[in-house]
Amino acid sequence: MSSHLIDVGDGRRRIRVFEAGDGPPLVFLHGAGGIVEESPFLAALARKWHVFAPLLPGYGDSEGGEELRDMLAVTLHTFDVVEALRLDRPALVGHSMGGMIAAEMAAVAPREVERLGLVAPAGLWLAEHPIPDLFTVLPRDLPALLFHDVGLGERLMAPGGDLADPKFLEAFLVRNARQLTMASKLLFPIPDRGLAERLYRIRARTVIVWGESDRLIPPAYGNAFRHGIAGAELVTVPRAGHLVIAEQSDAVAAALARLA
Amino acid sequence: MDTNYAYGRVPATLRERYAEAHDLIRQAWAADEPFVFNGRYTKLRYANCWPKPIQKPHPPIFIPGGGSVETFDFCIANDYNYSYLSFFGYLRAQKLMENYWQRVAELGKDDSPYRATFAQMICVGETDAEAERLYAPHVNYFFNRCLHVYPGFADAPGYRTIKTIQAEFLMQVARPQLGQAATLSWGELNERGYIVAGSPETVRQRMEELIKTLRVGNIICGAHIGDAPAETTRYSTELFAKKVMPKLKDIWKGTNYDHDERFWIHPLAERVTPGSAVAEARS
Repeated sequence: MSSHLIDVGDGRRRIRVFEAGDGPPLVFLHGAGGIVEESPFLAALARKWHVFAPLLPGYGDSEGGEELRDMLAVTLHTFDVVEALRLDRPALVGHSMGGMIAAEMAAVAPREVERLGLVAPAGLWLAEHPIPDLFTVLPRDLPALLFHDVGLGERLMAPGGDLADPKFLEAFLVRNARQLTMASKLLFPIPDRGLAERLYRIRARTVIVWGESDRLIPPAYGNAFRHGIAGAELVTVPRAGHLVIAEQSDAVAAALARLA
Repeated sequence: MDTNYAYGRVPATLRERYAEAHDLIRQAWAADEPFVFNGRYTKLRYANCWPKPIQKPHPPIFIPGGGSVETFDFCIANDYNYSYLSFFGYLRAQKLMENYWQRVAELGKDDSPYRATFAQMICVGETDAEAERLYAPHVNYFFNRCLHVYPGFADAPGYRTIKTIQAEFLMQVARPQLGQAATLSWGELNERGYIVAGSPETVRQRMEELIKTLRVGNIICGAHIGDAPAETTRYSTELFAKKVMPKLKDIWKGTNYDHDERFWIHPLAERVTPGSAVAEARS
């Protein structure tokens, strides 16, 4: 995995991109929790694809998110990233919030997005299946919400340092605040920015992947996306929660291989 | 809590919205003619404000704050009063107000105490014992019941800027945890300054300490507390007004700011009565 900073949108934003593999190009858009360079899921994707994983402003050292205030701005920004990477209609895959962005891109510019992978995407709201409020969940309750295997979740979501150490605590709080500030523009207070009305425009070959025990965005949403996007396939992954890319990275990569 | 979780506004764009609304209000007060306001969040083809304030360019403006460094700067730059609203009393507020006054100095402004306001819960009885007897149940109700807030609502992401989060670490200003008072007794709440309570003399002494240590020219008196009934509140208010306030009014007399009129309002020399302009025009 290599990592570099690129200028995006005529120098308006500096974006960190992780890159690996040498297959057909695929852009992966991360969820509200971000993604790290060592992600086993990115490595799994890179076995088949030339993977590019850009970090949104506010994540890692990506900067320049002040002008990204809403869904349209983030959608166009992500097209700017594709442009800056000089990619021609790469496969677009997004997890959770990233899936919401990928679906928007495919709806806004249906001729630009030919292959679309939506892994537990946000963006729809079903009154009978309300999504818990990510912005009020206490950190200690996150593993149970996001993982099938809660013990694994607790290990993966450990803060990675001592929260009693003020230096670490400050860095930890700043990182969380930067990330969630960006995410809140798309997800607060309800993760619905009208995507349902635009899904019909999507022409891409679409694979939807869902963790069977997703307690954040329940699998009913997988059906809603499948009904909304013509010809979409839905793959359900057992023993996986919302962070299905962390719990069953190989199974998700295998499902997405159908896009190649 | 209110703007984000209750009203559903995205916390990350709240400051921008606030700044825009502020500009709209200032323009509306100052404009003599209808004007176009093309904001990002508010678009008004015909902004036309009536009635307009008598004061030019505007009446004194008090801005409530909870410690964000951006709000310090906003108030100082505009000569607005910074009103620190806290339910946790003046002793806790010292560090934060020190930082405010330091920022006033850094930005090269005068240190008139009337630049600052503090909100304090106050309970006055004839004696310390009477104050406890009259107000303790209501103080208990407020601090141990009403202030319970689910911690997940404490800090919407983006509500505090990164600069403010970092400044709070630098200044070692700990945010009070709402609901943390839940185990505190009357004595502890009083001792920590969450409430200033007791006989008129006890309250006077503590208020004087508050005013001098925080360097504030204005006090928002929290006279009504929790489930206190009207008559109890009136009793405390009257004792405060008659027996405490007169002894506090002159604290800043004899300083450079004795006659600082910038942060307060004054009655008109000639009061206008409804319909008087019409009557005058007819005659």
